[in-house]
Amino acid sequence: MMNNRSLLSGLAAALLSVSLLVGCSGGSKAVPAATTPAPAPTQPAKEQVVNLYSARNYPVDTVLYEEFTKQTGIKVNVVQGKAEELIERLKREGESTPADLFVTVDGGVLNNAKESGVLQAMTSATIEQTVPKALRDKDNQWVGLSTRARVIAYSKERVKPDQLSTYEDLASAQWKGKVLVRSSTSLYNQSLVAALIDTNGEQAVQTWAQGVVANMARKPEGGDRDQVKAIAAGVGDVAIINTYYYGQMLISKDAEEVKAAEKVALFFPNQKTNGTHINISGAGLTKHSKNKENAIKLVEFLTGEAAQAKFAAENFEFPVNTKAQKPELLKTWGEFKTQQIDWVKLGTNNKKALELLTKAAWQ
Amino acid sequence: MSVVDVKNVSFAYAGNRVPVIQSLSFSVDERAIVGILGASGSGKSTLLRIIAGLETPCEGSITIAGRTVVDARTFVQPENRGVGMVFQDYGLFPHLTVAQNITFGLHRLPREQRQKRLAAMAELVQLEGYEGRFPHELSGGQQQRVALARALAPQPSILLMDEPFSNLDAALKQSIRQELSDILRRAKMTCLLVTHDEQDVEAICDRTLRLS
Amino acid sequence: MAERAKLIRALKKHTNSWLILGLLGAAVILLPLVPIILGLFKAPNENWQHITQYLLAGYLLNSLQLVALTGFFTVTLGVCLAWLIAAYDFPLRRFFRWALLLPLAVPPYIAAYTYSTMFSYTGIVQKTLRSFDVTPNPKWFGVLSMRGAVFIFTLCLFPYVYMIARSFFERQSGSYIENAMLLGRGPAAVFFRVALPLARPAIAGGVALVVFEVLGDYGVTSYYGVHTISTAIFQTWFGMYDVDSAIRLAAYLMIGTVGLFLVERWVRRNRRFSSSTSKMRPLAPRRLKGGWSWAAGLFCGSVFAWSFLFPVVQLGVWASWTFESVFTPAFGELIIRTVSLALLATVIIMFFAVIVANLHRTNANPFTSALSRWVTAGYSVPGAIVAIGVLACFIGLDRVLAPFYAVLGLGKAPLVLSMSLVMLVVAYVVRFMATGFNAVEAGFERVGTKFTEVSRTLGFGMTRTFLRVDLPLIKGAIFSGIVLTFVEIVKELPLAMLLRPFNFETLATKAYQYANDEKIFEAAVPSLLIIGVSMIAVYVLNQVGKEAGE
Repeated sequence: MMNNRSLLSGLAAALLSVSLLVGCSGGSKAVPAATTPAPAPTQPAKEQVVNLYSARNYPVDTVLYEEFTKQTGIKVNVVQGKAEELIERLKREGESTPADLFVTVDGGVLNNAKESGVLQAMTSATIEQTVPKALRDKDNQWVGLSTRARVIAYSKERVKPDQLSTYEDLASAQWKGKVLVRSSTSLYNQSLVAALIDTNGEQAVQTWAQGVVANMARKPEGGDRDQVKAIAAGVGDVAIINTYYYGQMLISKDAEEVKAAEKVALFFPNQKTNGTHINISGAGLTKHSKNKENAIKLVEFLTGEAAQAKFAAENFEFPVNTKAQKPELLKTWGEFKTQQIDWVKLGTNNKKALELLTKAAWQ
Repeated sequence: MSVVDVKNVSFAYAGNRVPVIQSLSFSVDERAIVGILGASGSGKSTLLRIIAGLETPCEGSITIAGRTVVDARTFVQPENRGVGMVFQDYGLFPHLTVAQNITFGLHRLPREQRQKRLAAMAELVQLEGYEGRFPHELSGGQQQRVALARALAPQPSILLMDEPFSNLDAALKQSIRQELSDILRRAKMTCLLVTHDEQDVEAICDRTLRLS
Repeated sequence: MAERAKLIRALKKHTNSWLILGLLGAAVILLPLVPIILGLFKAPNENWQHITQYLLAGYLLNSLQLVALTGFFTVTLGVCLAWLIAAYDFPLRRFFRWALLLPLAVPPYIAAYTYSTMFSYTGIVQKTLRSFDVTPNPKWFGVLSMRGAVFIFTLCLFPYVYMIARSFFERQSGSYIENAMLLGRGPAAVFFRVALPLARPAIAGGVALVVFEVLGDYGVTSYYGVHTISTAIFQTWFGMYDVDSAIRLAAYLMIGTVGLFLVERWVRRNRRFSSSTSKMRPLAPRRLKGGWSWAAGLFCGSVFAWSFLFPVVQLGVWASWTFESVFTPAFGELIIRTVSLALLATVIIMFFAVIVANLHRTNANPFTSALSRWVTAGYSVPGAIVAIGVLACFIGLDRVLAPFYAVLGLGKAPLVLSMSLVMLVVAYVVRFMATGFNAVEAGFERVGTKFTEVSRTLGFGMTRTFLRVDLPLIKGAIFSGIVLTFVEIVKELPLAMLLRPFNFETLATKAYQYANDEKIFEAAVPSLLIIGVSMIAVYVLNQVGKEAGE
């Protein structure tokens, strides 16, 4: 018996220590691997860092963080995840959180982070100057980084642009069996509906959603790109999509995708009414941030002209900084009127939107 | 002097109210070969498993070689009871050779003595020359003898045998009975042997115990 | 008095290092599940009504349909292939024998994106047809549906059933099958009347993994627009910002799944088919003749092509388009990191899987059976929910350890453990105990307790018996457990996403980063690396199996 015990506990101890060893070495290895550290000569003894919880994970983000480190010597550490998961993590970590900035796509989610009490106001004269008020939280708990428009894509062959007018019109009889849109699980759809509820009221939007469902060319499936392809394939004539994905398709490595995208054009709806719906990406300063100054510096950098131009050029997102240079494609889309959204309402309406979509059997 | 004392042992399987064995008492004297007879389901194999420590009785006590191995507050693990057991289907380790099977229970002996003991056992059961084989390369009778040698090798205070002849054909049975009887007597073993065949008992045993 | 003495006797009898370690492992695994179960006891909020009224019924039905269809097809495909390979000989049999395990290497969500793109308007299939001036109705190729999800899950998951059933047929069934043949039964009767019922426990183990995987999935179903219970969980959490209701739903899902398997075990409680002789004769494959042999080869070939070859070749083509822009030298380290993390977690999982399975086997009582069911419960809920439980535990642990950290000079209430890889490793253990455990348990069931009992009467304690007797006999099962678990962890996504430390990437998170953004071409590079790493693992399993002499 004694024999057994010592043997097994020995084994257990060995396992545990191995796990700890690997755990530790893995952890420390992780740090230098991420970015190429360029220690600035003036750097103080303690390494300057800013820690991000980010639900945005585009290559352009990483490029910009590296650029920031190069300029300032402040190292950017990132945990990527899904927005709600990261908010949950922030909530549970409380004051102990190592995170300084929370970065995500969608105003509703940003507002939810604010409501969850994990953010605080950031004060920066620079940001207030570069980012228009409409694209910031009213208490500056988060600041917009870029936007994308949710627009109507249509078949160049079968639809004339003057047939199109508003999101609301997609429920009308002329689009019977022609509308393509992805599932209601998509945050972009929820956000659009939440915004519509704000302007038209719940009742009207409920009727609208049922109308859209009745007009659908097929059950909602796939992502935004799949809707564009479906237009090219002739499954339907119009689709609700994000400008971003259309831009990506135009530069796709697959010639077929480019061809498909070229059969489709974009229409910016609601120009004569309340403006086209936009999705906003933003960064919020966490309540218990330990590197507040660095965090604000990073947001200032990201909203600066150079970084904003990069967002636009590499990711087809609309810059929040109006001075930033836009790429050709974005220029061809021209200036358009954007929906003025109260982000707080977008957050609170999101739940209503979801309920309404389920009731309308929008899958 | 008795080697095994079973007192008032009762046993029921988990979730079963009707006990298989009820208040059974008996003892086995040194060097006696006792046959346990009974129809199938009468609990004869269970009795062996209880003595070996593979099952726990709900009532009663058992003493082996003067040491209480189980009672209301004691339970000695099977590996510490000093019993040898030959299972009905022998249970020869398929991944070990005959020699490795026989010396399996001798892990506490130094290497030299282990080899000596192996040689003695192989001689006892007349399997010299088969030490390097694997169990599946042996006949049924040979397998049984390996199992017997393996159980006897650590010199247990008592040998328990569960239906030792059930897997052998009638012609073999006759000669093996005799052989077994010789081996046991030569080894001066105390033995409890479970069977359903009266003839087995008549041929080998000094005494019979009937379970109903 | 007598009762108390008996209880003490029982405690003394069962208390050994196995029990202590088993309980320790169980505590580590169950603790993170506690916050999920506790979710049931919180008063439901106003969202709950909406969920039960509009979401639950329909989504539950979808889940059941998905599970039933996937279960049916994986069993049919897995068992047929296993039987074909085990009982017959035909061209390329030896290749297919292991190649049919390879689909395990393909993460289902990657397969989902790959197939939907291949069949889309711009994909290879329709494009090729168009080049012949055939313009097919795109609706024929609509994989983005329940049908498509079943297709993807079947192709990706059938190897679980195939692997367990094959090893069962090959090692165990020889004499039964031959007996049945000698009794004059035709091949079909032998299969349906003898082989299939005998293999039932083995098949159940395989299907359990399939069902767990399907119920916990969010990637494939959300992309294919199939609304399941998992969808409802994430709708509630991400859409209604209501994590409590989401956890509540997950708790129901977990209890439902665990209950399902308790019922399954109860149904076959009296049917433990551990072989009744020590002679486990392997089945000798019979040569198929002429057309039949070609048909068998063709069948295996087409399953292999659809489940592995086509998607991998397609990914290869895409990877060649994007390799230059995506691949960086950092991938080398990414691979090493992914592999070492997965290996570490796998070793810990197998260690505890063996302990709990052995405890359950040697002391089969309600306590150990409940223990053995619950340690596998982590596999039945979506990874993201497990992640929340693990996170809650680790942050709690860090709070408890705060005074100790202060002594070490780490500052006021820092997060040490929950910012380290330890958290992720524990999460892997919680979630993937099932794959390791089921394999070990199947191994033990096959061997039975006979040899263990023999060894005990020969003076070996539980540990030595395990090392000398059980371990060599279940070696094969342990190896398959290692590979299954390893491959699962290499593919794993949601845990790695939420629980990793700063700047930590695995191959899977890298692949997801692209795939989630609808950039399947870019995702091809990391995906192929995941597949490559897993392929090597499967290949090693096969080689080790050969050496062990099967």
